[in-house]
Amino acid sequence: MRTRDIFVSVVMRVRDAAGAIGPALERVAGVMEAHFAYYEIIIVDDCSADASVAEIAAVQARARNIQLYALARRRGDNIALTAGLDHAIGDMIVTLDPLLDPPALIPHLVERALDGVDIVYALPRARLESRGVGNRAVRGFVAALSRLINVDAPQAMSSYRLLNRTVLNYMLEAVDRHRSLMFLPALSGYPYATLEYDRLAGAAGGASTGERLAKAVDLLFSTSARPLRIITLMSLGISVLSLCYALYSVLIYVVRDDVARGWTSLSLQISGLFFLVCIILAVMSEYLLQVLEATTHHPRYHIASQRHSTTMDIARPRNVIATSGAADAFPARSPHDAAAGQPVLQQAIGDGGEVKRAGLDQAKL
Amino acid sequence: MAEPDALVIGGGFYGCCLAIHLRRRFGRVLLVEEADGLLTRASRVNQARLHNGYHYPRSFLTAARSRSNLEVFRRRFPGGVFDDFRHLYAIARADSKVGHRHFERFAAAIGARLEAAGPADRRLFAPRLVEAVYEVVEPAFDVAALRRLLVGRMAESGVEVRTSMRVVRLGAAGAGVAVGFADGTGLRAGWVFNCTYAALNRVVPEAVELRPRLVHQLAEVALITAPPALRRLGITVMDGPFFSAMPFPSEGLHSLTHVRYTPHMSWPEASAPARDPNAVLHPLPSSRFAWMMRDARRYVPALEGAVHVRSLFDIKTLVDGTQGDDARPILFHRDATAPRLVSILGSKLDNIFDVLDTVDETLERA
Repeated sequence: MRTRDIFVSVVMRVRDAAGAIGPALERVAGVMEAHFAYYEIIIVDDCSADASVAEIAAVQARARNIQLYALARRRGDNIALTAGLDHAIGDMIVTLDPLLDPPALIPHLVERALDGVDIVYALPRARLESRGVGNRAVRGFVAALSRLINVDAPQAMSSYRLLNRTVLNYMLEAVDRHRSLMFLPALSGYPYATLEYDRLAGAAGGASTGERLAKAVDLLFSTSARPLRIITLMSLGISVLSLCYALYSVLIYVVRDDVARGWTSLSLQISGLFFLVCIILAVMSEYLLQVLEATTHHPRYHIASQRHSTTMDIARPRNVIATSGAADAFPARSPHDAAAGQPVLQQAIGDGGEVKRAGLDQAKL
Repeated sequence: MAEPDALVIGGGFYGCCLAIHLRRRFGRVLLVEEADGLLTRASRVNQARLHNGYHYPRSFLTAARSRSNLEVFRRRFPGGVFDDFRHLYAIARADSKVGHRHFERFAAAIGARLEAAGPADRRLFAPRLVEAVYEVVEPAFDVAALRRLLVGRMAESGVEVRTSMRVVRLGAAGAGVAVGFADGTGLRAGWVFNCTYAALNRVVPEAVELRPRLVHQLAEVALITAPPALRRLGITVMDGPFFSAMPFPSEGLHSLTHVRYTPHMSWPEASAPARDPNAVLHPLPSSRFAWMMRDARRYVPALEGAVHVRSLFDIKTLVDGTQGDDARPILFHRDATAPRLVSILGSKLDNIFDVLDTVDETLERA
């Protein structure tokens, strides 16, 4: 089987899941042990208050290749998962939620990746088909954000996915990778495939609405600078309007003689100040954009692959000096002759026949 | 077999050095080794690192002692020291127990040379994971050269050596110690020095609860052909769950070891006192090279080109309670039932000189 030589890292996070995490981890370990010769299971504990860690330690005593990283403070799903990804050593990295996602899919994800894609998203069938508010909201958000930042991502994607090391290396470059974790593979631009699956029966609902909203806001502002651009444009728009209002005030002052005392100066004062404030805002938001770009370290570009021209040799120049056009200007047939002062440098040319042809071409011109 | 004044069990580095040392005092010194050659076990299966202090930034005393031991070692075994490579120490950015400032201050405090690595060397490391790289002076030892040296010296000084001799019984006999071998023969020795490392407690006569409390570890040293960029380099990443890739001079290869993956399993001897620790070597576990290389290449991308040649496995034995720190004291234990049976558990090769003085004191007082 092809999958046996691939080193697979499984990365997952856990928080307050005593009672469920033990059996879940056993399931993952069982699948990995059965299908892969080289693997590791990384589990990050997001500072559980219950017996989750003890339960994981109990599984570690029985099953091989499980590493537990326990965070000192509760930092949320995305940071916990980022900590796991930072420590993964595999050629392919699978992230999943041990309580929601069936590990039996892992070998299939790896098989798909071996067909030559760098990312494989597992799409929960419920999210793909459901007309429920939550699932529609997720799909709608992914679609809208994809359009906004101009990337290609499946609408029903979940955290269950496979990345190969190239994609992970791209993600690890970003300083704020925990904010944009869900979209970073898509931002990398590498080709992906999808697989559908059913979530585990009786699984709890995953993140709460509040958590999802917070993640959505994080995603929107970390993957895209569009909101800031909109501020710039709005500021510019308002400053133009202020200017127009100032001109209007002056015009009214000139053409009408029933203007109330103080109206013109007050109007000019307000419109002038708004103009100034909006220009300042616009300039500052543009600088902020640049600061943001410099500090988040999102790679500007990422080269997916390189190919060299297979004939990238030194081009063989026709080292020929055309003289009068007479054929006898090119008598040299060997380097020795050339060295004897003839105008043809034989060594720059493949064979004598070519010299002749080159000479004739030149001669025709 | 005539009765020796002193019998040394175990032909590792400690056993051989001790036998030569004892020959100054005793007329007949016999060394027996279970395997068919000398220095084939724990003396060979390790990183071949001659510590020069850098490894112990959290234990000033251990570091200072390593440095003085290395000097003595160089004087006593000049041919066994392999210097023909440059050694780089890197400090990991995350998960390291020391930062680069601490490391610099520490090196200055113990008087060890530490130079910031040049740009070419620094480029070998991933800057995201490594915060500083230094060039240090820390050699390796050549176990084959040491073996030749010791065999020569034992012959010169008149130590008798018997290989393929397994001790199966020890017991008090008058003032001395009675020794029984697996082939049915036996002898009586004035003193017996037990230098069998992992098998230290295997045949001693004293009660289980009086024996030194040991913890065993099954350890793997992967031997690799280093990629060209690392051929004449040793690399050690500090200070935590990291790795080292450094020349393994006796084979002309590099050793790759990893704090997380080199120990395959670990168990306190008390959990199975009757079991021979060496039994875990049969059959050998499968190699963890795949794990070691994949983690190591994150820090040093060139290591992806390392070719795994084979792995050496052996038992690493520690005194219980010392796993957490780096102090690695040498165990010196006199048997409760046979006081002229002394068990010595070494740790690092270059620590040998500390124990010879203790042996002298013991013999003088007896």
